[in-house]
Formats: sequence, C-alpha cells, structure tokens
Amino acid sequence: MRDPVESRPEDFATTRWTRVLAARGDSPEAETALSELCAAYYNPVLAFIRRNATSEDSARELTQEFFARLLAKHGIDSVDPQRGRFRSYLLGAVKHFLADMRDQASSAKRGGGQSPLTLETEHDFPAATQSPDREFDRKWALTLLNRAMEKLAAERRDGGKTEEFDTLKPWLIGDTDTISQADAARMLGTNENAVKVAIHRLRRRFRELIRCEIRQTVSHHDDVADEMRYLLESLL
Amino acid sequence: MSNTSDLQKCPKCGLVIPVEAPQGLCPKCLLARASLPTEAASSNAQKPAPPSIAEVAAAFPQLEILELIGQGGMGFVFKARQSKLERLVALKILPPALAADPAFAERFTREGRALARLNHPNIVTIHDFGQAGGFFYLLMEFVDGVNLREAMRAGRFTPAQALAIVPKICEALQYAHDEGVLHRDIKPGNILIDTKGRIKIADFGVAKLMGDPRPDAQLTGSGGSLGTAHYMAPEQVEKPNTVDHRADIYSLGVVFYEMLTGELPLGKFLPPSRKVEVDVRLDEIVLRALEKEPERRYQEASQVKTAVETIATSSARASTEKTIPDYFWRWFAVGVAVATFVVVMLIAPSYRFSTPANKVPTDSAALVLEQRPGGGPTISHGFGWHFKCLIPANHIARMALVFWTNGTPRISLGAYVKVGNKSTVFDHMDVTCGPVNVVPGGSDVVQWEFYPGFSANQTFGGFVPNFASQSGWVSNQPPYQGLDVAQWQLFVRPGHQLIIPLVQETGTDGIPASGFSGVELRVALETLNGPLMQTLPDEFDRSNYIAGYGFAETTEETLRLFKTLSEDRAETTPLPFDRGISLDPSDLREAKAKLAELRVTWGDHSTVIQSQRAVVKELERLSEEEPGIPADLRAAEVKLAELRVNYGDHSAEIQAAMARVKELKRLSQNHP
Repeated sequence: MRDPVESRPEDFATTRWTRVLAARGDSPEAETALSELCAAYYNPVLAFIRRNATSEDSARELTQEFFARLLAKHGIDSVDPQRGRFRSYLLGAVKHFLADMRDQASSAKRGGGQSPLTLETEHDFPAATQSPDREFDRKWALTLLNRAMEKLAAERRDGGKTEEFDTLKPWLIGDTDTISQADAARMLGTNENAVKVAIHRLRRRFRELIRCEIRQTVSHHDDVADEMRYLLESLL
Repeated sequence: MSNTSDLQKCPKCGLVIPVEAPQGLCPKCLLARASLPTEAASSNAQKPAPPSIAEVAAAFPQLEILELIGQGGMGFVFKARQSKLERLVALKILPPALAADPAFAERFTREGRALARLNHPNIVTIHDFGQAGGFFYLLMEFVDGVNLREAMRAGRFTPAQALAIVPKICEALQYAHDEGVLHRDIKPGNILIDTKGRIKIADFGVAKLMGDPRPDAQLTGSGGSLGTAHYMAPEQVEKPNTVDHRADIYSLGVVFYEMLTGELPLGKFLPPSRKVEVDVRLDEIVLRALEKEPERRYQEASQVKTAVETIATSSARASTEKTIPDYFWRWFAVGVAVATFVVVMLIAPSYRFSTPANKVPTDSAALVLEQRPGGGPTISHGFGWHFKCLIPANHIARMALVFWTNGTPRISLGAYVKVGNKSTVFDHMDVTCGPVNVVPGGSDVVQWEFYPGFSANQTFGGFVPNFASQSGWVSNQPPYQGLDVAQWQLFVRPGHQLIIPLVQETGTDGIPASGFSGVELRVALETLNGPLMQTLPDEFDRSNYIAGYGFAETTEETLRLFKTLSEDRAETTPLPFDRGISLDPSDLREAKAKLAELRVTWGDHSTVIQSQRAVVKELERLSEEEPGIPADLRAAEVKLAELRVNYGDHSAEIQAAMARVKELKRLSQNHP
C-alpha cells in the first residue's frame, strides 16, 4: 500500500519512536532516538511540571531530573507498542515521576495512577488557566508547529526564497484579508498565478513537514491524522 | 505587512496569538489548515496502488520517470523527462483494469487518434499514446502549475479573474467541439493554470476513451472522485449515451458558478449576484449555461465567451456604481414565518466514529457533522463521554448556533418562530459539544458563517432585533458577558440531518455550561414539551410546536428510530416554513458530495461579509413591516466606524459596512 503523497524518504518502520519501541529502548539507536525525541519535546514537559511545582526554579529542576532518569533507565517497558504514542508515553512517564517525587516528599500513600497530580502548592507564578494535561498537549502542538515551521523557513532560506517565504507565510493559516495576492505578487515582482502556485506549494510542504514531524512520534501511519486532529483540539 | 494592532489577534479566527506562535502565525489556524486533506491524500485507500517508478521506468526506457504527480479515477500521472527532446512530459498510465475490457484496445486506438489531433494553446497536447509494458498510456505536455481546484483553495478568485479564465476555457471547448471531440469531464481538477497564468484543459475526451459513461461509478465508488458528478449535465447522468457538446457547456457553467461563489449550484441555488458581489448580468450567463434542458442552454461555447467578454469590458466601470449586493437573505427572512420545533435527538454512545456515509440511511438525506476520533475537548483526564445525536432538520434545527468560549464549544439548536404578528425569536436549547467537524459522506451545510472576535452583544444586537431581549440567553447574560464569542451558524438544510457530537464536559475552562450538556441534554430532550417550552413568552402559540425524540443504544437502532420519526413527521406535519431551499430528501447524494467539497474549502467561507448582508436583509425586511428605522442607520454608521479601526478600507468588512450605510441612507430617504 504505497501512498505516493504521504510516503516520504523516511519509512515508517524507522521513525524515531518506532525505533525506540522496537528495541524496547535497549539499543544504542533507540537511546539516541529517545534522547532526540526528549530534546525536541522538552517544553511540553516543562509546562506540565510547572503546573505541579511550587516555583519556576523547582519546575526546571524537576524537568531536568525527569529527563535524566528517563534516559538513564529507558523506562519504556510499560508501553504497548501497538498503541503507544510518544506523547502519551511521555505524559504518563512524567506523571509517574511526579507521583514518585510526591511520595518521596510526603511518604503519603499514592493514589491511582490516573488521579490528578495536584501537589499542595502556593503558585507564585502565573496561575493555570487550563488543566496541566491540556497545557501539556497545547505546548506539544506548539512545539510541533514550531519545529515544522523552522524546517520550512530553513528550506526556503537554503533555496534562496526567504523573501517569498516571508511574504507568503500569512497564507499558511488560510485566506485572510491581511494582504491580497495581487499585493504579494507586486512585492515579489511576479504575477498572481505564480503566487497562487507558490502558496499552494508552501502549504503542501508545510503539511508534509508537520506530518513528518508527527510521524516521528507515533507508531502507525494511521495515527498521523488522528494525532493531528487531537493536537488541533488542544489548540482550540 | 503586519498589523499595528497591539493585541496581535489572528486575522483569520480573531483569537489572540500566543507568544510562542511559529512565525507569529496563529497556531490553531496553521494546524487547522495543514489538517485539510490534499486531493491526493483524501483519495480512498481502496484505489489500486500506483505502479512503482521502477515498473514504469522499465516499460518506458526512452523516458526518465521523475515522480508521481497525480492519481484519480482516470489513472496515474507521472512527471517524466524525454531526454532526447530535453523536455518534460506528463505520462498518464490508465488504470490496468481497463485492459480486461476486450473492446478497450480498439476504442483506445480510435479515440486516442482523435485526441492527439487536437492542437490548441488552451488544451494539454497529447504527444503520443499506446500500450507499453502492459500499460495503456498517454504521453502529454507537462504543465507546471496547479489545477483550478488547487488554485481556488489557495485563494478565492475575484470575479475579474474568473472572467479572464472562462473565455479561455470557452475557446478550448469551441475548438474541440468543432473537431468533434467532447470533453465530458470538465471540472476544476481538469483545468490547469501554469505559472504564467495560461489556462490548459487536461483530459479531453479521456472519459469517453475510458468507456465509462456511468456517473454512478464515480458517485458511489471509492469516494476519491466525489464531486465529479456535480459538474455533469443532467442528461449526462440520466442518458449518458446521448450527450452532445452542450453537456460540456453545462459543466463549464458549474465551474463558472463555483469560481464566482465558492460553492456548487446545487438544488435551488441562488444566482451568483445574490451570494457574492458580482455584476448582476453574470447571473444570466451562468444560469443559462446551467439550464437543465440542453435546448435552453447556450448552444455553442463561443456564445458563452462572447457574453462574458461583453461584461468583462464594462464591469470595471459598472462595479464602482454597485450598491448593495442582492438579497441573499430574502429566502431566509421570508421563510421565518411559522416554525415547527421538533427535536429528535438520538444518542448513540456506542457509536464507533466510523464514516457516517455507511451509517446514514440513503432514504433520509442528512446533514452530518461529526466529531472525529480523538476530537473534542478531551484533553484532560476528566474528559467525558462522546455522544452522537441526529437531528432531522426539517423538523427541528432550522439553525444551530455554535458558540466558542474559552475553549468550550456550545451549540444552540432551534428554529425561528413567529410570535404574534411581529417579531421573530429563536427558540433553542443549548448544548455543550465537541467541535463540529464537517466530514465527507453525509451532508450539506447550507450556510456557514463565522464571526470572529465580536462580542455576543454586538453580534446579536444587529443580527435579529428582539432576539436577545426575547431569550436573554446570550447577550448580556453570564457566562457570555464581556467575552469574545466566535460564532458559527450552521444552517441545516431542511430534509437533512445534523449529527453533532456532544461531550459531557466537566467545565475545566471554568465557565459553566449555559444550558444543557451531556446527560442533562438527554433529560432536557425527554422533557422537551415541559421546561423548554416554559421559557417562551406567554403569547407564544404552543400549537405551532410538535416534539418528538428518541434514544437508542446502537447506531443501527438510532437510525431506525430516526427514520420512523422522520416518516411520522413527514406524513402528519406539513412543513410550515421553508426557507426557500429544496426539501427534496433525495438530495442525499448531492449533499454528501457538497459536504466533501465544503470541507475542503470551508476555510474560505469565513463570511463576515454575509453577516453584514444578514443585517442589511433583516433591516430591509423590517422596513417593509415597520417603515422608518433611522436608529439603525445611525447604528450602522457607528458599526462602520468601529470596523474601520480593525480593517483596511479595501477590506470586505468595510466595503460591506459601507454598502449597508449607503443602503440605509437610501431607505431613510424613502421613508423620511
């Protein structure tokens, strides 16, 4: 089942997350892949921990500690490779981690793994307007978008198309009244049809980059669209 | 280029852009846009896999096969280089299954010759055709650009652009018709625009060459070519063997209509000038091309060209004189007379979120709005249940208002009703729901509007006078007070269903649901004749209301129940209010395809313009009933000034608001 548009050079069997899953985290490649993924999605974890920590400093410390432990013990044994997504895995792991921290701190009996992780805190930094889980997903989506966008910008820059990119990027969100295609064509010294074509290509490439980015974190091709919808939800 | 607005709101959705936004672009809109399917990506998995580049290369040693650039019901298209001639070509490989038809080879040879004879600047040239390595193929001119479908998606065409393109299509058609060749499949996907703006029509005669005149195959088949049938002339669907060149003229009419309005001319469609601001003389051209009877259409493509060019040369002058665009809302307002308010909600918790196309009975047309798997505000650990409800729109939801406040969508379902002899009110219920995603395969959205960033008060203050004061459910009431409310209005096509996913939300956003949610909804529905009715004013005539509802545990049961209820209503209840849209439930197929179309393009439908038209229309209606409304003129001017803060003078918002003020002035003079 080849899908001509969707399939990119990196085959699904070799995305970072499937590599981690296949080796149960136990090969050098898997370790590298996991650390790359963790580095990429550092911010969502930090955002989540912030919501559960007493201060910005402690949030950063806890985040460092979390990743250090995660990478040291490759703790992915509990992941079902059939269903697992890196995002869910990471969120689960960070919850466990925080619960452990809490236990250590209070020796309190731990509740169910699903219970909300509210540490008793006095927040001295911006109050949560959304639940920690939702904030985690929202940050995740933002991270993903930023990564894809950086790649897109870099590609255009390498192709000597920085000006075109800067002019046409507003169309990546759809059609707006901000600037007309005629104006864009004038600014770029070309015609409207060329602009239409360029917009189409820019959108297509951005879509590919996003899908590519998501593909690194899920285990099945079918999950890509689903994950994209999920992340879109998190931004709404 | 950038707005100097200090709030950095997204020009698309009106929400504040977070600081971490990539390149300062609204992340929500970015991801939403990137989530839209591409044509190729949305094609169905059941389709045969394309041959690999290696396979094709082996069959065509004289070509350097570069990449697969397209696929569809008509085969696969590869970009290739003809090294000897140093030119790029497009190699179309026809579906292998065709070879099974013994008559195919002979027909292919005969038709191929006719096609290869076509030589016109607006027709994609066929260099060669034949059979190689088991593939039937056409070797064609390579066009570097996009097709009209993609171009329309990249940005709505201005009327001027449409007027420039149509004559080129006409020239190509006239030429081919003179050569005795019909296209038979004119549609946006077959009209190419290269980077220099030249128009090239592809796939001339390929439909016939492939010997598949059966539109059903395209309608009910794998789904990838959904919509193709909408470009077909009626006789092409009914009597495919008798079509002549006038079928192409009809298809051209559909494309023309779509370029102007962004929509397909389905059912009782409105003339273009009633939907968008275009020269009213275009209506006649488009409508004549779209005549059901071939005899009543233009008889030659060249006639369309002449007619269009006449307008194109004079429209620049005329457009500056144009006042109010014609009255989109007439059909709406006239219809708001007497209402039936019947709710049939069928909740199927066990629904597995499969494509509704297979689930909706074919004998009851449906509007399907579905939450996709994983959709909905289900992020936090407290997320709730997904429901599905089916609402036969000819009985209940004439209109659904979707509110979006701080991340929680809410829907109001209801109908306009006539109270006494004066005003209209919106009787409704509010439900909390997941995001309403329009998916292909089940429906029709008659109207989709989006008002970014207006406060509820502003929106409704102008929208339906007396509206807020009657129900008090939104304007100044908590929780909407002071909030920016994004509102969609989903006008449900009568005779169609609306399927809305409902989520029992735990209110993580801190705003309590204003009405009913989840289980509450069910309770409310079960007592529909009770509490809901009591919120209506005393003078309200309850005999105008008929209620029905049902619940089921499985999808099948749901649909059976729904069907029964629908039939009951159809027999016992004449539909007292028809907003002018066809009630024919046999439109399901059209509706499905139109939904697919809309889903692709709905981002282009952020019709603030139409919200203004609604105001104009409503005011006009009021002026007929209650002459003299100078206060509204003042309000309109205030609104215009207000809009000017945020929008440029050339924006659609300002243009429309100015048109409104102008029209009100005119009305004031008529009623001093």
